[in-house]
Formats: sequence, structure tokens, C-alpha cells
Amino acid sequence: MSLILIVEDEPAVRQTMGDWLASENYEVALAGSVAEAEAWFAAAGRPPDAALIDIKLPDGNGFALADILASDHGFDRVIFVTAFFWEEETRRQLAKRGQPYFEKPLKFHQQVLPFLKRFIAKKEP
Amino acid sequence: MTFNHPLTKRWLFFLGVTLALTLPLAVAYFYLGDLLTQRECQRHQGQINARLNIMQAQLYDAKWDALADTYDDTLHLGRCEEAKLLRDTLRWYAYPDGRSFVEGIAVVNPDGGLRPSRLAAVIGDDGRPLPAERLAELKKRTPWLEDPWLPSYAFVAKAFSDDPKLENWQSPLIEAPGRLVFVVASAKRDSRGNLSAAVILQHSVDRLWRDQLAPASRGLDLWLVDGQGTQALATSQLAGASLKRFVNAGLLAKVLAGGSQAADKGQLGAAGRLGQTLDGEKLILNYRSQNGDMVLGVASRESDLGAQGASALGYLGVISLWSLFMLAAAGAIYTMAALRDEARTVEKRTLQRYAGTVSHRVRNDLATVLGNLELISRGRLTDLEAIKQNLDGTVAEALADVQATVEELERLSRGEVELARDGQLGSGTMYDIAASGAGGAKQ
Repeated sequence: MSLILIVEDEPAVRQTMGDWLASENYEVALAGSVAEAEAWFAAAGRPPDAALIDIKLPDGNGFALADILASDHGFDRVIFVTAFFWEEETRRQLAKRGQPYFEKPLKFHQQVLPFLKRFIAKKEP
Repeated sequence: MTFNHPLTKRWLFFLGVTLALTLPLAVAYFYLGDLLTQRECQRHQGQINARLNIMQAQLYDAKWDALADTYDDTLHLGRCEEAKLLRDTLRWYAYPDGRSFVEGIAVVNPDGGLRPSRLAAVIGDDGRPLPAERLAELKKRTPWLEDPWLPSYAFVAKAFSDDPKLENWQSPLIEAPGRLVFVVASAKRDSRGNLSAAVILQHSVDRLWRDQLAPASRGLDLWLVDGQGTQALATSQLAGASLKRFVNAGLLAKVLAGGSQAADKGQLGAAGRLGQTLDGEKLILNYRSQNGDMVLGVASRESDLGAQGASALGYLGVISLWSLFMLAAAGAIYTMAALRDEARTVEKRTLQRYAGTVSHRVRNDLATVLGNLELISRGRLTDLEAIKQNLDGTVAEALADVQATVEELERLSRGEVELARDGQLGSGTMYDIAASGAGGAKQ
């Protein structure tokens, strides 16, 4: 069973995303901030197969968290989620990093789940 | 409006710039003012002194020319030329409308009587007696024309008798009918030193003024006084007042004494400058003496000296003030325009950020609502209790937030709340990606 880490500060959104992925038989881990995500990584026995990370977080931002996970844990399977796509700086950072992202509100059935399956499948040998 | 208000700060900036420009202008104004006034005063004083020197030389010449003439004529007295001298001089010099300042030349007997006592004729430049019409016309202005002499010249005889060594003499001013006159005389003495006769030249002050002083005195407050303090002339009220103050201060005798000493050294007379105060107004008096006989003075208001420089300075001051005023006005206009532009920019940016905030909130709410709807519609959530729990929980919260957002927009549209400059309405509603580098922190 694939493990997905969701880092999202809005509890309702986090819960809904978790429900969706759970309904698709993913194992789900939830974090509401950069600190919680780092703590989870430190405590987890294995890295997740993918991490859905909200860009705007109360104690930092998703870009910085992705950099920490990459440098500290060698983890780069990050998919960004944002409600701030309208903002120039967010778009510029996303284009610069070249990592996948979803714009809120998420279309789980049409976009997220198909992409996630392909994304995880690419990792497996 | 506080000190930190942008309007205050900008206006203070321009005020500072204006004041900073005012300082060098003010320094330049006062420096130039001092320079201009001093130079103009010096130039003005120089002009007055130059004109006074000319007039002093004229007075000197008038006296010594007359003395030379009368002395020469004393050599003819008692000789055969005397009769001719008397005839010629009496005829020749007595033409008061001529170019000469000489009113008449005569020989005075020791008793003070003239020899002869009346003019033989009044003749013109051509040496012929004046026509009767011309004579009548001239007599309207100078009724003494045919007889310019004083009733007695005993004062001349007395002056020479009182001082046996006196050879030449200039009298003080004497009141004659219709005019002031003075007499320049040379003595003829016998072998024992007694006065046998004196040759006199009689000058009228009026003619002296017109022929010798007036040409150089235009625009000056000028006065002339004799050794006894009799005013010969004063061209203005100011000149008259200055003369009175000069005489009352006892300066006349001192200046004349100085003039006599200067004459002994071969100079024209005394020269000097002093300050006077007249009705609280400061005057500068420049004076010259005619040897030890008369004093000529020019009074100048201190405020008039350098008036041209002060006028130029006034123009400079007006131009400077206008320049500063225009600068301040331009600064004010620029400040207001800049503030208006800044206000527009801030307002636009504020609205942009608030719109982003609203978008963020609604997108998150939509993510919750649509996600749950999708869960239900796709049959991922079939348990009614779980559905109810989600609808009552996350969905209801999201919808409540949408409703709150809408109400917030309505309050904003009614003007009940104001947007902060950073686009926040209240606190905790704004993310700012630029606040922490690449990402942002929730404020």
C-alpha cells in the first residue's frame, strides 16, 4: 500500500484530501505545518511514496519544506498544492522548480488520482 | 496628521529643501547688500566730494582772481592811470547780466566813500552803453543796476585801518537792497602804512551762485555760509537745517580756522566730513572752506547714500523671494501629485492583495466542498453516518467560511470596514509570499 503524506494547514481541506486518498486505498499521513511534517519524517520508518504539500503554511512554506526534505532525507517526490496560483511569485517559483503541482480546488477523480498513480508507478522498478 | 504621515514627511522634505536654498540666498542677499551698499555709498560720497572740490576751487578762484585784480589796480592809484582806471573799470565791469560774477569795481577812499560814487554807464559785452529798453528790462530783475554800490564802504577802510599789515581782505556777507553781497579788497597804503585808498570788487552771492556753484551743485543739498554765520544760500530745507546745526554746534569757527591754516600751506581750504542727526535721521555732511572766509557744505541723508545699490538689492530680494515661492509651490504641487499617485498605487495594491486573500479562502472552501461532493458522487463515501459527519463538519465549516467571506465583502462594499494597506481585513486572513523570501508565512 502506497503511503502519501499530506501537508496542509487548513484542517477541512486536509481532512477531505485524506478521505479521498484513503478511499483509494492509500495509506495517509497528515501534517498541518512544516514542523509537523519534519517531525513525521523524523519519526517515520520509511519515506512516503509521495507528498502533497501546500505551498502556504503557517510556519514557512511548501518550497522551503521540499528543500529541507530533499537535503535532510533525500526525498524529492513532492507534489505542490496551492490556492495562490494567481500570485506571480508562486507561479515563478513553480516554473523555476519544475515540480508537479495542483491548483485548488482539487479535482480528485479527474486529475489527482490518475496523476498520483502514474507518479508513484514511475518510482517503482 | 502625525509626523510619520507620508504627507507630513514629504511636505517637510520640500520645506527642508526650500529652507536649504533659502540659506545661501539669504547669505548672498546680505553679503551682496553689504557690498552693494558700501560700494554705492563710496561711489556716491566720491561724487559728492568731487563736486565739492570743483566748487571749492571755483570759490578759491573767485576770491584770488578778485584779489589779483584789485591788487593790480592799487598799483595804478595816485598815478596818471588812475583817472582812466576809474573811468574804465566803472564802465566796464558794471554789467550785471554779463558772464562775469563781478558786480562792480571801485576805489574806496579812507572815509569809506566811493570815488566817484556813481556809475558812468551800464555797458554790454560790446563795450557800448546798453539800449534803454534792454536796461529797463534788466532793471526789473536788478533794480540796483545803475547804482550797485552800498551807501558806505567804511567797513573796508576800518578793516585795513584796524590791521596795518593787512593787504587783502574779503568781507563777510552784507545785506544790500534785494541781494547779499561781499567785497574783495586790496589796500593802497602810504609810506607810513596808513591807508590811502582801497580797490574793491563787489560780488553778489546770487551771481556767485549762478555763475560758479550752480553748475556743479545739481541735485545736492548745498549750503554756503560766511565767517559770521550768515547764510549765503541753502538749496533745500534739509541744507538749511544742516547749516543751522553746523553753526549752532560751534563748528564754523573751527572749520574756518582749519581753512586759514590750509590756505597758509597753499591749499584751497579745509575739507572734511562729519555726521549729523536731524529729527532722528542721520545725515552725512561733507564740507569745504574757501580759505578762512566761507564754508560750503553738502548734506546727504545716510539712507539716500547707496540708494541705487539698495534698489538693486531690493530687486534681487524680490526675485529671490519669488524664486523661493515658486520652488515651494512647485514642491507642494509635486508632493500632492506624488501622494495622489502613491495613494492610487497603494489602493490598487491593497485591493489586489485582498482579492487574492478572498480567492485563497474560497478556493480552500471549494476544495473541501467539492472534494466531499466528489467523494459522495463517486460512491467513495457510502456510509450515511460518515456522510452526515462530513457534511456537518468540514463541509459546513467551508460553507460557513464562504458565507463569512461574502458577508465580509458586503461590509466592505457598504464601507463598514476598511482594508489595511497590506490588503488585510482584520487579522489572519493574509498570506504574503514575499514576506519570507521564496515562500511566505501566514501573518
